[in-house]
Amino acid sequence: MSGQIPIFRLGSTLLVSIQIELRDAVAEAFQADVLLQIERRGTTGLVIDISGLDMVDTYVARILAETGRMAKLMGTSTVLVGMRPEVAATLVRMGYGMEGVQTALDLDDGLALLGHVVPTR
Amino acid sequence: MESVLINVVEAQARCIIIDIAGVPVVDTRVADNLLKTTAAVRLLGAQTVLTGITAQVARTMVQLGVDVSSMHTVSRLSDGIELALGMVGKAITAKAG
Repeated sequence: MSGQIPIFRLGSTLLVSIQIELRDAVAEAFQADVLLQIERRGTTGLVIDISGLDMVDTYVARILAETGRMAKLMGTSTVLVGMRPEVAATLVRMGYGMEGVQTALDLDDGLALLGHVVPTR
Repeated sequence: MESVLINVVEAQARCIIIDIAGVPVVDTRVADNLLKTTAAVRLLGAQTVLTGITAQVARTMVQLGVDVSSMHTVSRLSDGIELALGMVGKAITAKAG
């Protein structure tokens, strides 16, 4: 694994939490790593937690949306979780609705969307 | 838009209801704002229900070519509340007895 972003496996789902700023090289390595893991493990779900990101530019938004579409081609559904309000507002103003990628409020909801049984709070 | 988004996250809301019954006229700017808010709410992982659309507003929105397929629309607030509760697996029922 070449990237700086750890990828966890939870059953047939991959779990990635982005806690560092996604600079160009990091973002590309992240995408390559995730896709490689999907290929190797034959996963069916991917949860990307971006609650640690307080800024998402068009490049990162494109990488995230693209990764979702690429994962879909490999039979894996992607859920983007934990987006901050200010990030959502900025993305929509820039015309980035991230269509085609599922979204959820938090990890619990994201995992539930992918069919994992999450104990209720 | 920001205040709505912040409240969605703070309240961990799965659904937001926007009632526009008191809005007599909807122009392209208002419609655009509603659509942007809906798109942003979706990015957070919640859904939008638009209620209180009067005949006049419905007519205008269609004539303006506003595509509201991204949000759920119902005419009355009570229907909206019912729909929203249904989305989170809840319902209002009559008290037994």
